[in-house]
Amino acid sequence: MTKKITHDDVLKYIYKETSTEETNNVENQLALNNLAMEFYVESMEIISRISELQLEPSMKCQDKILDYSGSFKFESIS
Amino acid sequence: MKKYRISDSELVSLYINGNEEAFKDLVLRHKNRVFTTIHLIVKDRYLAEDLLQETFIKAVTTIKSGRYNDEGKFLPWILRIGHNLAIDTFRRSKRYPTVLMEDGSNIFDNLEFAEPTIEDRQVTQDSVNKLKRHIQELPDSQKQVLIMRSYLDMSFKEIADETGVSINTALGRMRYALINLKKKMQESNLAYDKKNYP
Repeated sequence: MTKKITHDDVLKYIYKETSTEETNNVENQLALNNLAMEFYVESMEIISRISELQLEPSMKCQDKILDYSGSFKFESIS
Repeated sequence: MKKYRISDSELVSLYINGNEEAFKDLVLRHKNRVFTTIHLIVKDRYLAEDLLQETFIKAVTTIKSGRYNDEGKFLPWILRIGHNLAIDTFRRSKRYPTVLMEDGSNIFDNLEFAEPTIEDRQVTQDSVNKLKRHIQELPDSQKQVLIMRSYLDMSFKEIADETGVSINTALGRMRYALINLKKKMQESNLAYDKKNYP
């Protein structure tokens, strides 16, 4: 028998934080419950856009980091 | 998470043995992820670049002084350094927010709404900018959970422990963050349609 699920259960399922039993339950409920399925699809869409968001620092910034590393000497371990 | 031919821990080992190219690979591999996390918190490109440098400088200092010990998990470690620096800076700016310009406006507002650089225009698309803005506009508690879950790969349990709330509260904040983002995206698409098809 399946238990009713909440939006929080769906979120945990999306982020793979559910146990095997919970996963089966969420999947069964998603198949039966249109509102839960709608929330799942919309959330997946936004989460995938968030994970694609990549901002890039300038080359100058990157070069400064590499310059710093190049000029920093390893401390001798005695 | 992306799979690489040489793992992060192998690169760190090479770097510890004096291979600067290995460090360059680590920077190229993770700079965008760390920068994105910082930028979303502090909302200013130039400040985010300063903090990104500070983050990697801390990493260099720690590794080169023989104090590095993260059990092979370089990315979560460096993300955490960047996140903490960004949060500290954000809190300080909230505590001392009244740096005023000649016209009486807040300097942070001016930084935030400054014109994007040429480089910005080249590398980021309109939709990316919109999403970035929408995330930055979220209430702090929602933005914090979203960044921790999406960019720091922390579980809801870890987020709850770190922020001193229950798992249900952490989940609820994430849920509201997603609902708010969806609403903001719909509104901005509607505004775009009205502008182009009045």
